[in-house]
Amino acid sequence: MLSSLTTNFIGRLKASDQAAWFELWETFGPVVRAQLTKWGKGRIGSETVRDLSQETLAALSESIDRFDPSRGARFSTWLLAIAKHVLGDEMDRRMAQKRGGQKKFTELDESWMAASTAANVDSAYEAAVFRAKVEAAIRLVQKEAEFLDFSIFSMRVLEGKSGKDVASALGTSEPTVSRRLAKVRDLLRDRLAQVISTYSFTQEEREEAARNGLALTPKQDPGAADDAMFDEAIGEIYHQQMELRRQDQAARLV
Amino acid sequence: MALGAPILILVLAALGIAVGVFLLVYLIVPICKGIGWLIKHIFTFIFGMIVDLLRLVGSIVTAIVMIPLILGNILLGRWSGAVHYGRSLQGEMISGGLSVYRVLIGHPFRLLLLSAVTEGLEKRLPAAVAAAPTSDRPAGRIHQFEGYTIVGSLQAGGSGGKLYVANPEPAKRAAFERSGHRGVEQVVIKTFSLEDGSELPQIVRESRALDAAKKLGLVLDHELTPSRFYYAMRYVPGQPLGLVTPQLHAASGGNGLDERHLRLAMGYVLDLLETLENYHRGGLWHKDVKPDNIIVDQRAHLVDFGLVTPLRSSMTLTTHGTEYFRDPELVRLALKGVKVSEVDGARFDVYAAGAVLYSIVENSFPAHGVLSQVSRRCPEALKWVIRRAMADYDKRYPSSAAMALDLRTVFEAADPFTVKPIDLPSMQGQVPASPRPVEDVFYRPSYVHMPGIPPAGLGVGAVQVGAAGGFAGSAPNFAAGSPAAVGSAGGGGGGRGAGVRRSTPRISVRNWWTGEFAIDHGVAAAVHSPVAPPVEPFARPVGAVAAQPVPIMPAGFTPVPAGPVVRRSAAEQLNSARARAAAARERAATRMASRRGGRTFSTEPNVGVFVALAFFLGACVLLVGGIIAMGLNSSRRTISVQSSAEVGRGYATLTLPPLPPIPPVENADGVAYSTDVEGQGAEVSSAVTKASVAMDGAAFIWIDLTRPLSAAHEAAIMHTVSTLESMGVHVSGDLPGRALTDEERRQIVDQTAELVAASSALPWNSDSARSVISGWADEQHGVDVVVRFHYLTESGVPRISDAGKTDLPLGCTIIARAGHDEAERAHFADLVDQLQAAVEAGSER
Repeated sequence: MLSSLTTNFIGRLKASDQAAWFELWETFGPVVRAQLTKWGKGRIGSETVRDLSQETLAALSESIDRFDPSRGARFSTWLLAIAKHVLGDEMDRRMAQKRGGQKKFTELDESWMAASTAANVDSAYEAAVFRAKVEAAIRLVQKEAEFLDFSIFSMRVLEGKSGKDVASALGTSEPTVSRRLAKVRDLLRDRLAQVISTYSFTQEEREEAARNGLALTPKQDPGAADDAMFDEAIGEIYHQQMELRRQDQAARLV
Repeated sequence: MALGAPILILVLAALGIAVGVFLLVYLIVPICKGIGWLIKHIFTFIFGMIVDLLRLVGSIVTAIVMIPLILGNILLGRWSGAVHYGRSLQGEMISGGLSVYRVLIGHPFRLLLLSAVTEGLEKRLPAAVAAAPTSDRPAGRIHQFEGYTIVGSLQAGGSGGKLYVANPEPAKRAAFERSGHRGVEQVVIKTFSLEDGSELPQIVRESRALDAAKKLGLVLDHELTPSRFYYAMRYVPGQPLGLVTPQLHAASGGNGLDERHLRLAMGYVLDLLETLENYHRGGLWHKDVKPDNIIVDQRAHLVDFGLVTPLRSSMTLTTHGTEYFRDPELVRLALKGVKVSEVDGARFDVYAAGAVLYSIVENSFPAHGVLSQVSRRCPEALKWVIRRAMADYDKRYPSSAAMALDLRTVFEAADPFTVKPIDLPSMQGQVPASPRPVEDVFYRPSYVHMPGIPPAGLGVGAVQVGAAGGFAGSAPNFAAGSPAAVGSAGGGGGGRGAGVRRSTPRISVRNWWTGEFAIDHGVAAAVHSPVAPPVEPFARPVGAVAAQPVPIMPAGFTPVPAGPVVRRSAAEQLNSARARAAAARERAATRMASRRGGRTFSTEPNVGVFVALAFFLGACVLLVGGIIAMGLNSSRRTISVQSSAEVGRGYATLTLPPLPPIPPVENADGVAYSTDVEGQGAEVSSAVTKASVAMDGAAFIWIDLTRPLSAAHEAAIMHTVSTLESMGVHVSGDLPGRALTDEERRQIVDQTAELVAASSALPWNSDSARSVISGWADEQHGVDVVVRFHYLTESGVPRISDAGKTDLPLGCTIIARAGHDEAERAHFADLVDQLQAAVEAGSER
C-alpha cells in the first residue's frame, strides 16, 4: 500500500510536473549513473552514462502511467529495472550498429513490477538509494531550518566539530548549540520519514531507516539509538554520499 | 610459594596475551594491511599495464583495418563513409596514444607513488589545451571588421559566437577616446554570423545582452547587418580563474591555499563581487558567473555577458547557466515558469560567487551544492561565507555587497585563519553602507537625456566594469558614477511615475534585432530597451523629444536625434527579419556548398581521413623511393657479377654502369680521350695499385655494340680500359679516340671481323660463344684475354623494340684464351679473376 506522499509524488510525475522530475533527477541521478557505470564495465563513457541516466528518467516518464503499485515492486527496483532496460537497449543498439543494421528500441519489460523480492538486487545499489534519500532529507532541512541552526548542524554533524568549537566559532554557549542542534535533528527525523515514505513503495523499504541506525521516532521507541548514534549515522551516510557525488563529478570531468 | 608460581604464570600469561593483542592490533594488523595494500598496488599496476597494452594492440589492429576501409571509400566516392571511418580511426589513434602514455608514464609513475608528477600532464595540460584559442586569425579576413585588424582568436564560449582579438585602427581608437574609453589598445570582437552557423536565437539573445552591456559601458562598438552581428569589448589579457586556481594550489603545497595565496584568491572574489554589485545596481543579472568567465591579470574581471538579463525582465526564467555554479533553485523556479521579475536574480549571482569561492578554496567544483564540504585548509569564517552565499535562496546574502563585507573582514584580518564566523559583520547585524537601489537603467525615465536636465553621473569612465576592468580598487566602493548612480540620478530627476502620463501609448519596434522600440506619445517618441515590457507597471513620463537610445552616454555628450520613427508593426518587423535571415542562410548554404563540393558539414574531412591518406601517400612514397633506391643501388654498384652461372673458369661477365661522358682533349696526335674522368682515373689507379698487384698481360677489346656509341657507354668502356691500363695490362682493339696507324687499324678491324664472324651468331652468354672466342684468342699473338663489351640483352644485340635506344644496359665479358696446357689455363683463369676484381674495384671506386 502506497503512502499518500508516494501517491502524491507519483501523481506529480504522471502529471508531468517538471519540478518533480527534476527532484527525482537531482536525488537519484548520481545513483543511477553510478549503477550504469558499474554495469557498463568501462564500455561506456561518462557522457554516455549521463545520457543514459536521462533516458532512464525519460523511460520512467513513459512507464509511469502504467505503474501498478499493487504488484509490490520496490522503489529502488523500479529505478533499477528501467536503468537496466535503457542500458540493455543501448548495448543492443550498439551491437546492431556494429553489424551495420538498425535496431528499434525494445519495448520496456515491465515484469519488474512483480519482482520486488528478487534476490539479485545489488545491496550496494540499495544502500546508495537509501543514502540518496537521506541526502534529500538533509536538503529539505537545509531549506526549512534557520541558517544559523543548519550551520550548527552542519558543523557538528557533517563536519564533526565538537560542541565547544562550534560554540566558540559562533560566539554562543554550548547549551545553545545543543538546543539548536536538537531542533534541526528533530526536523531531519521528520523530513527523513517524509522522504523515505515518498520514495518507498513497500513497507520493507519504509523500515530501511531503522536498519541503518536512524531511529526516526526515538521517543516512541525505547530501543532506538540515541541522538549521538543518529548524528553519527547521518554523518557517515553524508560522507559516503559525498564520495559518490565526487566520483560522479570526477567521471564527468574526465 | 605454592600459589605464587601459578599466579605469576597467570600474570605472565595475561601480560603475554595483552602484549600479543597489542602487537596484533598496532603492529601486525597495520603490517598486514600494508602488505595487502602493496600487493593490491602492484596488481593494479600489472593489471593496468596488461589492459593498456592489449588496448594498444587492439587500437593498432583496428586502425590498420580501418585505413583500407577509408581509402576504399574514398576510391568509391563514398565520402561520408570515409569520414565515418576516419572518425573511428581518429578515436583509435587517441585511444592508442593514451594507452602508450599510460604504459610508458602513467602506470610506472603511479607504481612509484609519483602521481603528483603526472598530475600536470593529466589534468592541467588538458585544461590548458581545452582553453586554447580555436584557430589563428582568419587568413585573408583580418580586416573583416571595419576599423579593426584581427590579430588572433580566443576560445569560443557556449553561445555560438566567435571571438577575435583585434587592434583598433587609429581612427577607431580616437573615436573611443572621444567617447571616454581611454587607453584601448586591443579589443575582443564577438561576432555571430548566420554564414558561420550561428543561430538566430543566439543572435537575438546576444543582442539583448548587448543592449544591457552597453548600459554598463562594457561594449565599445557594435554593428548589425542582415547576416552578421558583432560587438567589441576591451581586451583583458590574463588567464581564466579556472586555470589560475590549480596554479595557486600547486604553489601552496598539498592541502589547500596558504595565507598568501588565500589572500590573493579572496582578492579575486572581492573584485568579482564588486563587479556583480555594479551589475546589480545597473539592474542586471550576469547569470553565468563561473571561474572560466573570470579573467585574472592583476585583478579579476568578469567577462562574457551572453546571458546577462535585466533583473526586472518580464520574460520567463530560463535554465541557462553552468552546472555547479547555477543555483538548483533557479532550475526549479524556471521549470515552474516563474518570471525573472518575480525573483531576485542578484541572489543567484551571489550563489555563483559562493560557488566560485568554494572552487578556489577547494580546487574543485561544489558538486554537492550547499552541502559541499570544504575539506582543505580554510579559515572557519571563510567556510561560513561560502555556506552563507550558497545557502537557500532566502537565507543567503541579500546582495553581493553584503557578501563582500564579510569577505573583506577575512581578507583584511592579520591572520585570516583566526577569524571566526561570529567576527563577521553579517553575524553582528551589519549591512553594507550603500544598499543596492531598486532603480535600474532599463527603467530610467527617458527624460534623463532631455535638454536642460544634466545627465548626472553618467561618466563613462565610472562605468568601466567587468571586462573593461575599470575598478578604482578592490574596496567595495560603489561610488557615484556607476550605473547605480545613474539610476539614482534618474530617480532623483523625478522618480518613476513622475510627470505627465499617457494612458495608451503606442509602441512600435524600431529594430527587431536589438529590440529597440519606440513609444509614440503623439508628440514624440522615446526609444527603449527590448527587455522593457511594452506595458510595464511603472508609468513612463512623457516629454521625450527624440528617438534616442537609452544607453549611458558620456558626460557632456549631446544625443543626436535618430530621425523619424519607422512605423512598421512588430509583426512586419518580425517577418522582415525572418526573410532576411532566411535569405542569408540560403546564401551561406550556397556558398558553403560551392566551397565543399556540395558536401554537407558533417562530411568535412577529419583527422582520421587525413591520416589514412597520409599513410597511403607515405606507403606510395616509400614504394617509389624503394624502387628508385634499388635502381640507384644497382647503378651505384656499377659493376657486378651478373650471376654465379655466368662466372666460370676463364671468363667473367660484368655489368657496366653508364658514366658521364668523357670530355675529349687535344693532344699531339689529335683528338683523344682522357683516361682521367674528373679525376676518377687517378683514383682508380691508386685504388687498384693498393688492392691488387700489377699484371702482365694483354687484353683485346671487342666493342660488340651498335655504332655510334652512346656517350655513357663510351665513357664506361673508356673507364674500364683505363683501369686495365693502369694495372699494366696491354690493351689493344678498336678503341674510340685512340690514335692508331693504318696498319694497326687494319689489323684490329681484321681481328674484330674474325670474332664477329665466329661468334656473333651465338648468344653472348653461351658456352659455345665463349669457347669460340677463347679459341680465337689462343690463335692470336699477344692476346691473353678478350674483353667483350655487349648489351645485356638475351642475344647481346638490341631487340627491334629497342631500336634507337643507346642507353641499354652494358655488359662486359672477360674471356681468357684457352691455353695449351692446364698450367696455362690456370694462369689465364687467374688473370681473368684479377682483371674482374680490378675492374670491379675501379668501378666501385
